[in-house]
Amino acid sequence: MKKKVLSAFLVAVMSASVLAGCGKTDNGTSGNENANAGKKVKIQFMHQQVEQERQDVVQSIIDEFEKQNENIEIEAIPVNEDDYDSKIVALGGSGKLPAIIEYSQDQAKTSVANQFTNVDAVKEVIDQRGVDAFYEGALDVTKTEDGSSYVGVPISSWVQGIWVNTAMLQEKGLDLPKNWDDVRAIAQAFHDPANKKYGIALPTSDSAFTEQVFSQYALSNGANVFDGDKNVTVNTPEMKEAMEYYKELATYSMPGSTEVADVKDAFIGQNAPMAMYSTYILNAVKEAGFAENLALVLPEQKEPVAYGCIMVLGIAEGMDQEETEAAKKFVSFLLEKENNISWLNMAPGGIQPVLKEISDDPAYTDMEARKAFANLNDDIAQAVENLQLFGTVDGKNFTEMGDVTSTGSISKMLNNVIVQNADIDAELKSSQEAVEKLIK
Amino acid sequence: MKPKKIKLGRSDTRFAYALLAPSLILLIILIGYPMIYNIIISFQDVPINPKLASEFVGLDNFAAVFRDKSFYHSVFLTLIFTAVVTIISTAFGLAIAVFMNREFVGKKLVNSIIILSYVVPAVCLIFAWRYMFNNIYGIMNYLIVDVLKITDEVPLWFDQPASAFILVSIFAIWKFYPYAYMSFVAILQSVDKSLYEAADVDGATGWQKFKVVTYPAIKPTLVTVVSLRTIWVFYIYTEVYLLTKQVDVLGVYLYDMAFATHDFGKAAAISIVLFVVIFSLVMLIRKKVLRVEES
Repeated sequence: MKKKVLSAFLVAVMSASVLAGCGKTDNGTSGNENANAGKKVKIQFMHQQVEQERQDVVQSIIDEFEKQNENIEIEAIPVNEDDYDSKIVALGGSGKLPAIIEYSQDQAKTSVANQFTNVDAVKEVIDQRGVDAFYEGALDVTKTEDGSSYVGVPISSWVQGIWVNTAMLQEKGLDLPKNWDDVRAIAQAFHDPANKKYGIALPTSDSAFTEQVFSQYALSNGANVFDGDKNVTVNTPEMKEAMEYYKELATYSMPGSTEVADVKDAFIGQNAPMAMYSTYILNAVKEAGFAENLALVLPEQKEPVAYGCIMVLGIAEGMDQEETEAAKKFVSFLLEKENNISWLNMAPGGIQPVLKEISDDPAYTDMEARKAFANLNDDIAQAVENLQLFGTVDGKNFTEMGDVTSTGSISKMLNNVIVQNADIDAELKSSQEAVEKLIK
Repeated sequence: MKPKKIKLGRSDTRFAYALLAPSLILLIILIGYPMIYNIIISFQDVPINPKLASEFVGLDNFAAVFRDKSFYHSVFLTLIFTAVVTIISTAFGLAIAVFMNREFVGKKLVNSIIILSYVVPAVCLIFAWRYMFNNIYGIMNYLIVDVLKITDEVPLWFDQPASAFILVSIFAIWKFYPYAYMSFVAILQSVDKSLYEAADVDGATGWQKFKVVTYPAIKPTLVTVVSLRTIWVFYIYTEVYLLTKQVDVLGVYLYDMAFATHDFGKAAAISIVLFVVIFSLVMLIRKKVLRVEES
């Protein structure tokens, strides 16, 4: 009998533990702990700066903010980039999104489409800072679909273009490329695959990177995935011309499906005088010892076009007034010159400013790690100004572009044409149909 | 002597259920609820935001799957891939297990080398293979083009569907055969050696010994290995997706079609279809191929 009583007691304890584990722990709205009204407002800030030294910088900014705003407490939640998308979906799905989230513009678009972001609060912060304070390209690509607000508050950026090894060009007496024809001519001049030398390092794999790079050539030729009325415009003469050009250019690149590492390695190893890559190549170039021979140019046919990513801060929907105000206050604080420079200085060379006043500020330009690239500041600022993306047209940002990218409709087409030698017309037609089906 | 049957009284039965209750509750919460929820959302268009209402769409998600030609291509490819990998990795594992079922110098070292591909994390192996077959600096191309001078053209290993399928199959066989090997080695050690001695006395050949002595002994293990490996290979995703984009097995199809666009309803519909396919396949293999009698 004693054994039975003991067993029953254990069963009761275990059952209680199981049920306790299933209990809801908060109100399921935003996951923010707001103490009683009138007391400290506690909000969370999820960001991608996971390295310890970067976390220290973020914390020092938070400490300074909390010193100036004693009734607000910010809890930083660093999350690894690889886990970021799934974390957003999981937190959003359980109604526990942090008050402030650092997003890429694509992640921010998805969050707005899922009504996770308070776009009114975001617009108020941007208006308060002044639209003119930001680079035009940075704001253009972060507009909401109807163009009335923004998917997040821009805080930093990275841009992508053609990186050129000027010393290699000088050896052959060539000038910096100014348009498609120049790029082709330089690529032809250097291409010698038997000796592992290539004219240009380009991505050709079925990946988002390939779509990003190709988008610069397509957009510079006036081709986009959508027109202003959201009609799909994949199968157009302009897109076909860009694909033919990109395919030809790829014949001067490395063989097969090339990816991020292939492109970077070829340029850093000086196996190619040109590479399509983001500003994240700068530190590797510095370590390879030819930072002084580096130039950035943009693909240009009808107009110069840079690809890039604007990192934004989203403010969560569904919080109470106090929490929303606290979040707005902290995001505005991060846009103040001194704090924004501290943020940018976390990854010198990689992330770039979105505020015009920072590019020439000595506190930004004179940082030791950035001095090697001082000659590139204007080119990079120019690239941010010329930022264009597939799916951004006539001041509108179509959120469906995120689905087009993640299903690989464009990159599959490119890989099929370039690597599998598929027919361009057939691929354009099939990609047009795939995108049309996707947005139905 | 027959084992004595223990009769349980009604109160003991209740008490037994009470003891089982925590486990049953856990099973219902962790397995039953997700399964039922999966079936429910397969008939819905589900937004990520829980505050937005799901829309009932009837059989639309299933219809979308069955209308898609690439789904049938993936099913066909997956069935061939599953058959090739399961049969060869099992046969290879069994052959090595039979060979290793004896004493020799350095057996422990050989044993460690055999199971190496199974214990090393898949991601490490995948990247090693990708470097080996890299189109620019891969060692395979170096050997073929620069050392052996077999051809001037660099083969695009993971870029052509046929070569990619062959390489991924070889990779999967190499990665998975140690599981079959370990299972068979364990059971072979329990086979009475006197049976082989008796077969020798009767003048049985190697094949006859395998057929009459070894096969009956390993059959239960064989059924388990084949069933589990069929299920695991059928749902394979990581190895294939990280090696190549040219082999659209069902795991990759599922990701591309559903999770890339956060279409949970469609993903649920695909998973139910896949469950029916794999369940039928495993039952078919067990009954018709391995002739297992369910009791």
